[in-house]
Amino acid sequence: MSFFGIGEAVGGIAQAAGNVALGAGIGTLGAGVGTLGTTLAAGAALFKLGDLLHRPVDMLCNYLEQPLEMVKNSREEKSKDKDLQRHIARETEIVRIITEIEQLKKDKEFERMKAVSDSIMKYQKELLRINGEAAQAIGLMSVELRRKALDLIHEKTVQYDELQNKAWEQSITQFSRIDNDSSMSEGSKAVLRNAVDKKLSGTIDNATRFIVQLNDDMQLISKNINSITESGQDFIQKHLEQFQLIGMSGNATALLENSSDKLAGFAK
Amino acid sequence: MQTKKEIFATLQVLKQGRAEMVQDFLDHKPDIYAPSFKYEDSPALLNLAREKYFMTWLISHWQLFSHEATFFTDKQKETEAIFATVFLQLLGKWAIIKTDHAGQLNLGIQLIQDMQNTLNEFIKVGDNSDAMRKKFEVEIEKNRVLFEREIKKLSEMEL
Repeated sequence: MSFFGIGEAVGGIAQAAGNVALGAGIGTLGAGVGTLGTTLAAGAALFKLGDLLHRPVDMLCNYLEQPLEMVKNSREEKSKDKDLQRHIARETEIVRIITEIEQLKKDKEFERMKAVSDSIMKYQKELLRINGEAAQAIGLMSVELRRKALDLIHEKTVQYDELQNKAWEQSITQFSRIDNDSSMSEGSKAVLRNAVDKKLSGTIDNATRFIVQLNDDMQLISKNINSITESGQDFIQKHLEQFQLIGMSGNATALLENSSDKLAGFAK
Repeated sequence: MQTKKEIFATLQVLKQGRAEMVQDFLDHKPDIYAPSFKYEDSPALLNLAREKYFMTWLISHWQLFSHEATFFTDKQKETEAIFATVFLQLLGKWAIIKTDHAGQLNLGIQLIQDMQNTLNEFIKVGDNSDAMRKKFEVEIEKNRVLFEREIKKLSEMEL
């Protein structure tokens, strides 16, 4: 009986460990950027770009939120279907982001921004790499710890996002000032445009670094959570050895080993 | 058969635990007060720092008991079983473990130590993120000033 007790206790920690966190969809964080487009004449491509930059950040947040919802729904028969739907939605979202970036690169206005274009390429690459990794890392956490991780990552993402909006808004205002300055020669405008382009590219590099750091940190946390699950497994293993030493019946030992295997399965 | 003496040992540990917590607040222990200022703009980090304090407080019960138990050498096993059940119930309040079976005391202690480590990692993640945000903030301001400087220089050249 006590072993089932252990299984339950550790099971609580390893709960939903096998559920890889999947999620997609457009969140609300990037909504503010699009509104600038109506007032400033910096071009549609830029606004589109702003929106695209926000989406991976939203996706990372969703990775954390989805497993919590999945736990709520875990007793429902439908949860497997929902899992599949979420997976499809996520894949669709990634494909859409990449397609939109490809489209953007064809835009004439965008063509002029060499540095921004390069940064976007890097961003796109990292996004692809991180998608699976982050999902797996979060999937290994217990419900309680996921909630803590969600609160933390969400708070930091919102704070970062506010700053990114500020940088974006600043770039758009600067492009607009350059375009509307009639006293300035075309040559000077080109110099300034180039400077703003580099700065905007720096903003995108920052977004890339932010996403990468979030991912790395998640891996680190995940490693730690694994050690928690393992301490439960070690404990059971030690007990098993003790029981074998005092000569428990074969059936009972097999039952306990089964329980241990089940636990190990959680962590996979 | 549980005697009053064995139960008293556990009650004594709980009493000392409460007294330590009150004393920590009275002494303005940095573990409690420093994060309130450091993380005043970050409720998530503040919660983690608070939780970290509580983890340290919880594990201190085990240390207190180890000391207390030395006075009960004749019935140490029975004394430990009573304490273990109560201690695991206490850990259950923090959702660390879901059982109060005395045989799982070691697991409870291991889990609480792992939880302390995980909370430290979470706090590091938050601090990393804050550091990055501060750098970005400075960069935005620097860019604004450089742009103004550049536009001023070019406008003067045009004149």
